[in-house]
Amino acid sequence: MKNFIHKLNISTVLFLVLFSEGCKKSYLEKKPLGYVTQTVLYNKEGADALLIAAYSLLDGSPNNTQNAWSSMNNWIYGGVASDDAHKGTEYGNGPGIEQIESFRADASNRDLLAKWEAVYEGAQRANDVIRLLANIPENSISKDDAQQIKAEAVFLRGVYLTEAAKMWKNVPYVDESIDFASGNYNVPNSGPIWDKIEEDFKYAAANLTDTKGEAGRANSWAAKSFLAKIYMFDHKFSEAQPLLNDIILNGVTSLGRKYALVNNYSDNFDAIKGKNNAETVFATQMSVQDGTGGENGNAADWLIGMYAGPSTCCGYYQPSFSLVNSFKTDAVTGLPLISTFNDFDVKNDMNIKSTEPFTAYEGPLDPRLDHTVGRRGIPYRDWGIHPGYSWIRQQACGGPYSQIKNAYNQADEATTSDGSNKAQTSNNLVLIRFDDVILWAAEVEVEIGSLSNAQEYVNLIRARAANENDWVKTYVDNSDPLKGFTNIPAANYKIGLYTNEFESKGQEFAREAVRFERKLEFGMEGHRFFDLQRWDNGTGYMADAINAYIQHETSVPSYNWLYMNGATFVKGKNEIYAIPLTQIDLSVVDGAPILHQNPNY
Amino acid sequence: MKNVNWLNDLKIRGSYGILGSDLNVSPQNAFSLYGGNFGNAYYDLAGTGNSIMQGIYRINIGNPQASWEQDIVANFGFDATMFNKFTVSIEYYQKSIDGLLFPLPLPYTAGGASSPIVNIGNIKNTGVDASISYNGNITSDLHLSVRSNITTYHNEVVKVPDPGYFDPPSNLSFGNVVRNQIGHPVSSFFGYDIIGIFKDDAEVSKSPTQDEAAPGRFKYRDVNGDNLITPADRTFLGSPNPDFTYSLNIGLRFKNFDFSSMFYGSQGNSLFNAPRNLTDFFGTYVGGKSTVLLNAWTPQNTDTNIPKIEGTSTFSTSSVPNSYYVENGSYLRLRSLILGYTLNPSALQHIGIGKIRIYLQGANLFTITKYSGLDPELGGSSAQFGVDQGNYPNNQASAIIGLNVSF
Repeated sequence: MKNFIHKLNISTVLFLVLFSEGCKKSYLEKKPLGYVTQTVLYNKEGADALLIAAYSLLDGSPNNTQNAWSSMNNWIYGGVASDDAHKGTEYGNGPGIEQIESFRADASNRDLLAKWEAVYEGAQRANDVIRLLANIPENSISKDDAQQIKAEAVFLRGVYLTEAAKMWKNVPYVDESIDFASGNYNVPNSGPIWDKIEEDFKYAAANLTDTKGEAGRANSWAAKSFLAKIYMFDHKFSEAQPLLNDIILNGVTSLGRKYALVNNYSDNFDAIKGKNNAETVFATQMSVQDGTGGENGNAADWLIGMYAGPSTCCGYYQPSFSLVNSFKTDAVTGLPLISTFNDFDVKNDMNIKSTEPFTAYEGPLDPRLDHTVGRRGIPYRDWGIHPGYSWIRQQACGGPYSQIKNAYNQADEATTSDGSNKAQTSNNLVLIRFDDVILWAAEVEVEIGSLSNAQEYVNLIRARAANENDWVKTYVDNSDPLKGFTNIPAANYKIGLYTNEFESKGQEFAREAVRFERKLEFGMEGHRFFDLQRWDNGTGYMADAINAYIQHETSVPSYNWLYMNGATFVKGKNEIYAIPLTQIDLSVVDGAPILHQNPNY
Repeated sequence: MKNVNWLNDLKIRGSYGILGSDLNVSPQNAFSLYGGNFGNAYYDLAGTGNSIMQGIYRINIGNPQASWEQDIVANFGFDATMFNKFTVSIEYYQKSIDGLLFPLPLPYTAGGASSPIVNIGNIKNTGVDASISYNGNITSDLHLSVRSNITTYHNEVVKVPDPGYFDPPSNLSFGNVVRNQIGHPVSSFFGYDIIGIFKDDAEVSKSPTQDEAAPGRFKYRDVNGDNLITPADRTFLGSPNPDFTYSLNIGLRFKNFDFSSMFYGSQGNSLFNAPRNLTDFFGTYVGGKSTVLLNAWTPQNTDTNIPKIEGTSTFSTSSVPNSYYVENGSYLRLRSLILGYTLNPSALQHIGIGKIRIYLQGANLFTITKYSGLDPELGGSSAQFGVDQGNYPNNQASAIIGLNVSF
């Protein structure tokens, strides 16, 4: 009997346990392991984590596999496709990029698809933040926090869609109402979306605080500067003018530092000195030696790592002859040779082995050249004298020059580089720099303001470049570059200010002078193609510039730029890129695609 | 029927069944899940240069509506044995998949989160499966067995929601080459149809307007007849589904010798020979090139199907999927050939050995095919079925000398 009771008790208890468990509806509902479901994120921390992931695509690399075709520095679409640079590396390597450079890239080009994916994933990550905020109960997040997070998300959406608008012009505008759950994710591209992006940046500028707790967050001034950028792309000079003046007079960085041109131009390309300096309006934050093997350090730029020297792969993105020629200056005035720069080439080491003697060009040059281009015979940061041929993967394909702005300093190797090829760096990618703002202001003054104001802005930029302390100097000891530099300039640098040329030569000259200054100031920074596009505005300006460039580069003696044979920039077509075919194929609503291809593709 | 001597056995059979399957579906498919890793979600928001903060993003979109896919299998046929030696089996089968589970292809305007698996559409396979075999002694010493089999296929995508097709993900450098569309076999090849090589400038100028058209490059078919070659002119270029597959096994035993062979063939299927994009064009990758280029177009050699040799990669040559890569994938292969000899057992018993057999086996001794790739019998993923991506040729000829000893 005792036994029986014992048994009864156990089975009763067991029964009750099973029964009570069975009564809960959740018994059969298992939460997925190893992931987070949405409700867990319904608080400030959750919204901020989603926001950080939206920020993280500012490097243009959404995939684990480092995506080299969607970098936000636009070395392909803004650099290689313009007169800044050649694809580099070897013939046949990166055929999609060769198509882009030779203006043969059509809708099937996979690199364009990668860029499309990256910017729309970025925009939708920002939208995810906004959608999440709408679901967070009021007591789980303060009103102020919610406002800041939302405004930062709207800002980021604007940044990503700006990329789309620069690339393809006629693009879908995707806000937080566009979602899988709503079934409205096929969005037409009925025309430019500058107005809508403007609204996003206006909202962000009105709602963001002037300073932030973290350097990487967008503040109101970053939003205002992006708004100014949109005005420039949309040719709204009268709206841009007061805004730019306000930014120049009152703008501060997210940490509250007043915007300024830093003394040394080259600091902007230094992983340490350039990081969130007073000139940084808004930047992608890059991090290395953080335990990830470089996944957050220019991950999307791994192809442009030097083939030899500071890194061991892959030698894409080499400055063009024309870009180098642009830095020639007048021996007397130190001014650029705006219309005659390409009359002859700066002496170069094409087909000269590193073991054979070579003396670098001795004519007058803008000192920014050697912070923009690595070339034979000149100190390459603190890595040694650039040896030319042996650091270049295939001179016949890419030419004799190397990129340098994205490289790191040997002395800082331990903290500023990463990855098996040492191609990852912690150099921030500055999306808008203060010199950008100043040169926009100069453009606006040329168009609707005073030419002397424009000249003053340009001279600010040139005066900074004329700071001799920042010129590249020869090494104390060529065999040990880490010993430092002498006070002797490494080349014949000559740069002067404009005296009264803007007014005396008139608007046409002033316009070209400002544009040329942008080319020099932002060489190899992925802006050039989009600047030309902005200036073109239907006039054929861009086609003329690029076709003259192709003509020049294909006739450089001893340089056989194979894949450019027959390449032409077609006016009315190549100013913007082809919309990826797979996206058009997927956009079918009621039997017909609602994404339309850009003209003449 | 009792008087029918030649017929030993006759059986008529039929079956019908529905099988539910959710094999491809992760249990998490119903949920929108959030997560992230260092590379694609974390970020150095504080601007330290050497540390990152955790970020979380929506990894996949949930679909609570996904349910079983139904495999509906029906067949009807008969089995018969005749003259004590022949066996015949013929059946008609139909296998339909209703509500095929497949990741929904989404445009990027929906974001980068992975698409959920949905019941995307219906697919139907029909065909006849027939086999005939013979098993008997020709003489008292000679035993022969023959078994042959033929299976025919007809495969068709029956139903897919708007836009009426879906494309599997592709990792080929020149884009997706496969489309599953209503009315076409599953995994059909899709792209521009080459109707020749432009012979000269005159032919270029009188042909429909085509990007990068030039003598020596491909001339595409203007499918919709609008005198322009556009993406609307992409068409179906073939299917990796065979019309039929067949096999023939022959076995012979003569005294102590034994012989067996196995033939297998596939007829009427196409293959997409993607490596030719690398081996036949200089604009795609630097590397070894194919000898077919010896017959490349030149102004003197215009009667060829090999385009001109050039360093650029264009719409009219190697940058888009086209029929250049689609080849006849039919083949007949001798999969196995075995010749054996068994030693007389009685002589060996006193040393404790039951049986010794020595044999010579050849595998894949020959393949008759027009396919120019390494092996028409492809492995690889089912989503890219029929696309040769430079697969390792697993079926190479080999010979084995063997010894079986049983104690």
